[in-house]
Amino acid sequence: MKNNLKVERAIKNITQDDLSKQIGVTRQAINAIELNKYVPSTVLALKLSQFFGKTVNEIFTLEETD
Amino acid sequence: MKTKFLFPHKFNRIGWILLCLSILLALLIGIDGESKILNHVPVFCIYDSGIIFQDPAIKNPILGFKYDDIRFELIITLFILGCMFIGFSKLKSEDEFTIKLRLEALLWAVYINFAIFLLSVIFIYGMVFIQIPLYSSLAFLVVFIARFNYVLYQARKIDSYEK
Repeated sequence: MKNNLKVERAIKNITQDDLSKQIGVTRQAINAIELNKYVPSTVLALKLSQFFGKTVNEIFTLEETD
Repeated sequence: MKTKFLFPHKFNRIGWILLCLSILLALLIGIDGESKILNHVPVFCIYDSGIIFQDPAIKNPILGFKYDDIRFELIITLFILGCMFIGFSKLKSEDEFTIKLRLEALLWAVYINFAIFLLSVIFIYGMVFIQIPLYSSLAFLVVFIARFNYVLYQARKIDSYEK
């Protein structure tokens, strides 16, 4: 699964730290998602989608290997 | 995500205190062998199998009190409680990602522990072998704590140069 969290974050001009505080997760979680090392739960994906005002599909996309 | 089965964060510090106490006691008074203190304390015993080659005239109680050296019991209890509190208390910030790291570290510890146990079953013989399950179950907690803290450290380190 790919994501453009980093891009979304840049558009909103918010740091990993601030985003994680807004969402209520650890900074490590945001970092691991951006590095494609961690696939977030549906709840966290929905929280992120809500925060950025975009649908989950606009932030997260399936890859061929999924 | 809510976690039901973890101790509150402050138990972490309590855990370290208990663990240090346990190690300190083990170093100062030893776990077995001769001792001048704590060597004749009444304990409640559910079952006592006795020791091999023990005089059969010594009656071992089933569900009763007896006098025993409690250094071993004390040190192991402190050690286990300490490790449990350290390994299974919430982090300052606990979330689904740290839960995943914790569970992966547990899996890792299971693999390591049983690999070592299996090797000792195959290669270690004699009386020493009897002690191995005890120490391997203690080592399991230590391996888990070490692994979990290592992956947490790794996750934080990557974090530091990613703005």
